[in-house]
Amino acid sequence: MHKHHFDTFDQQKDASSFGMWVFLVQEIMFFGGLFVAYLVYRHQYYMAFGTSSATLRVDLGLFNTIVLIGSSLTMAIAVNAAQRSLQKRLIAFLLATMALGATFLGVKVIEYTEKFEKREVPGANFCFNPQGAPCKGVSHEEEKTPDLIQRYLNGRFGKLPGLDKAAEHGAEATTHAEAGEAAAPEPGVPGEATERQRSMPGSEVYFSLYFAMTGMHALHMIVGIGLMVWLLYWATKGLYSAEYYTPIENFGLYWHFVDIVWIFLFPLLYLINRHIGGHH
Amino acid sequence: MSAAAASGHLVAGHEVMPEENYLSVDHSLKSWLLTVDHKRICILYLLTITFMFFIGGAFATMVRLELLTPAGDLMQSDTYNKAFTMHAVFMIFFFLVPSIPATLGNFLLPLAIGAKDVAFPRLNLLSWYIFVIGASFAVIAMITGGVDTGWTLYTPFSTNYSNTNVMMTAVGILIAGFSSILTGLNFIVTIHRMRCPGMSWFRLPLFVWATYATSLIQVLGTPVLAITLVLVALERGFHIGIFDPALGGDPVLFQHMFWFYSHPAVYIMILPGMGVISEVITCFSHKRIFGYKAVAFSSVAIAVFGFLVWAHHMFVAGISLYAGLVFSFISFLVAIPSAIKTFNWSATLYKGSVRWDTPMLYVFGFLGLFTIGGLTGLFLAALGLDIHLTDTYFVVAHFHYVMVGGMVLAYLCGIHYWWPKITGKMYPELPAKAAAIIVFLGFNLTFFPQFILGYLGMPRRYHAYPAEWQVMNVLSSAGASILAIGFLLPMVYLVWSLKFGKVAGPNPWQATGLEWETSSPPPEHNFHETPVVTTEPYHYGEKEREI
Repeated sequence: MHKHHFDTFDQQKDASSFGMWVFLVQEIMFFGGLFVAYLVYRHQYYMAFGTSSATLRVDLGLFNTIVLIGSSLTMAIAVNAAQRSLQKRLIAFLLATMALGATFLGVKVIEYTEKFEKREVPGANFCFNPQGAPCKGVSHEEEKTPDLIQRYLNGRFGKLPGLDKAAEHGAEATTHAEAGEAAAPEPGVPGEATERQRSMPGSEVYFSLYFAMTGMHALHMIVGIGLMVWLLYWATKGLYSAEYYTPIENFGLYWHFVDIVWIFLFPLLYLINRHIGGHH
Repeated sequence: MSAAAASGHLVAGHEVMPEENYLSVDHSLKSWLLTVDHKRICILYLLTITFMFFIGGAFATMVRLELLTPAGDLMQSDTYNKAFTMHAVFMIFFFLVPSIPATLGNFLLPLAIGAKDVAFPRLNLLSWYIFVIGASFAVIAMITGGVDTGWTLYTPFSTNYSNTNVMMTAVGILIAGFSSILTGLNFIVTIHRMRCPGMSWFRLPLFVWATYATSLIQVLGTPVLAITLVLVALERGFHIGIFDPALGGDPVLFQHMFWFYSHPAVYIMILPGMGVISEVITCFSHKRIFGYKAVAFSSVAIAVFGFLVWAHHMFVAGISLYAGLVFSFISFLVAIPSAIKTFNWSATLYKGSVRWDTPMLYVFGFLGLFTIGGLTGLFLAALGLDIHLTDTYFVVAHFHYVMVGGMVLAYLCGIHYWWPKITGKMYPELPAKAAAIIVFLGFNLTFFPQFILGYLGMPRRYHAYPAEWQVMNVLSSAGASILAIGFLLPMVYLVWSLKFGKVAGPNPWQATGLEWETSSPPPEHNFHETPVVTTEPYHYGEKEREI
C-alpha cells in the first residue's frame, strides 16, 4: 500500500520518519532563537530575572510539568497500541493525551490571567516594582492556588483578587473598578515617569520572554491537539494498524519534542533564583 | 545510452516530441493546481518567481531613475526608502532564495538521482501554496503603501517608528520562510532516501551536492529568521520589549538573530548556482570535472562556514573588538572553499573540448563576475577597511556581483541548459547568445561604477548625492537599462521556442546524468524503468570509448 513514487513500503516509512526528525531539527532552531535571547538577557539582568521569576506560581508550573510528562506517557502508550493494532486502546490514549494537553493549556490560561491582573504583561500597562510604590489596581493579597482555581471554576473571570477589600479603603478604587479600568495606566503627566518607566529595569524583558516562550510553546500544543483530532478521526476509521502506524509514531515524536521544550522552560522561567526576592 | 541520444545534437531537427510526457498528461487547470508532480511544481514556481522578479525589477528601475540626477527630484526620500526596500524584499525572499532550488532543484533533483518524485510530493505542492500565500502578503503590503525599513527590518525603527506596512511584509516573509524550510526538508529526505540503485553519495551529480548543502541552510537557518520575525511582530503589535532599548531590550540582539539566518541565506542564494555551473562546465568542456570530491565538499564547507560569519555584517554595530577579530578571520576562511570551486572549474576547462553554446557563455560570465564579487567580499571581511566601506555603494556592488553576477547568471545558465529537458524544445541560439552578452555587458556597466562610488564614500539608501558623483551614477543607470533588455529578451524567445523551437530530443548536449537518459520532456513518472547506475558521474571521456 505504499505510494507510487516509493519502491517499497519500508522506504516510505523510513522517509517519513527521517523527514519528521529533520522537522524537529528545524523546531530546535526555531526555539533556539528564543533560548539565545533568554541567555543574553538572563546574563544582563540577572537580579531582575530572579525577582521577576519569583512572581510565577511554582505549584502551577510543577503541576503542568507533571501533566505534560503524563501526556508523553499516554502518547507513548498510544504509539505502542497502534503498533500492536489495539484500536480501542489507541483511541483511548489519544483522548487521554488530548485531555492532558487541554489541562495544561487550561492552567496556562489561569496563569496568564493572573499576570494580566497583576499588570505583569509587557505593554503600556506594565508595572513591576517590588521595592517601590505598589502598582495601582493590583492587590498584594496573596491568593492561594486552590482558591485561584476555584475562582476560575466559578466563572469569576473578570474580577480582581482583593478588589473588594481595596474598595473599602477609598472611593477612588471603587470608581475605577466600576468603570472597569482598575488596571488602566495613569495618563502620563509630562515630566513625570509613568509606572511602566519606574518598573524594575529588565523585568519587562523577562516578562516579554516569558510570554514569547510559553506562548510559542502553547501554540505548538494547540497545533498538536488539532493534529490529534485528525489522527483520532482516522483511528476511528481503523486506518492504523501494525502494518501502518507512521503518522501516529511521527506525531508522538512531535508531542515528545513539545514536552521536552517545556522541560527546559520550567526551570529557566520558574525555578531560577528562588532564594532571592521571594514574593513581592 | 542509445546512439541516437548520444548524437542528439546533430539530429535535433529530426527528433519527435514523445507523445506521453508530463505536460501532455492532462491539460486542465485543475490538473496543474492540484499536481503533485515535481516537474509541474517546477513550472508553477517558475511562473511565480518570474512575476516576482519583474516586481523587484520595477523597483530597481525606480531606484536607478532617481539616481540619474544628484537632486532628489523624481521621488521623496520616503518613497525612495520604500523603493529600495521593496526591491530587496521581492528580489531576495521571493526570487533569489527560491530561484534555483524551487525551480531547477524541483525539476532535476528526482531525475538526477533516478527517483520517480521527491520524498513528499504533497508537501512539495503545499510548499508552493505557502509560498504563494506569503508572496500575496508581500504584494498586498506593496499595493497598500509599501514598507520602508530596508529588507533588514532593523529594530527599533521597524518595531517602534516606521509607519509603513512592516507587519504585513514581515508576515509575508515569515510564511515564505516556511515554504523554504519545507522544500529544504523535502530535498534532504529525498537525497537520503530516494536514490536509485547504484547511486552512491560520490556518484551524485554536483548539482545535487549543492542542493543538499542549500537545503541544510534552509532547514537550520530559516527557523531562526522565523522566530526573529515573530518577535518583531509581537514587539510591533503588542509592545513586548525584547529588542526595544527603552524597555531594556537590545537592538543588536535583533541584528545577531537576523544575520544568523540572513548571512547563511546569502549562500542559499549562491550555492545552487555553483551546482549549475559544475554541471554545465563539465558538459561543455566534454570532460570529467576536476576534483569531484573537492567541489562536493566545498559546497558543504560553505554551508558550514556560512553559519559562523554572521557578525561581519555588524562590525560597526558596537560588537566587541575580539568578536570582530574572530568573525573577520572566519569570514576570510569562506574564501577557501569558494576558491577551490573556482580553481577546479578552471582546471576542468584545461584540455577540454570547449563549446560556446549559450549556457557556457553564462558560465564564463559567472566565473568572472563571481570572482570579482568574492574577492571584494574579502575587502569587506577586513575589519579596518570595512569601517570605511560599510553602508556604501561598495557593499551594494559587492553583493550584486555575487547575487546577480553569480546567482542570476547561473539561474539563466541552468534555465537554458535544461530548457530542452523541461519543455522538449530548443531555444533559438542566436538571440540567446546575444542576450547572454547583453546581460554581461549591462551588468558590468551597472555595478562596476558602484565599486568606485562606494570607495569614494557614496552611502547606500540615499536618494540624493553630491554632483561630482553624477557621471558614475549615469553610467550605472545606463547599464541597468541594458541589463533590463538582457533580462527581457529570454522572456520573448523562450516563450517563442515553446511553439516554434526545434524538437530537442532526449540529450541535445550529449551530456551525462540520469536526467538526459529519459525522454524530453520526461514521462510523468520520470523513467520507464528504474535506472541503475554503474558508472562515476561525468564519465565524458569514457562514453566515446564505449561507443
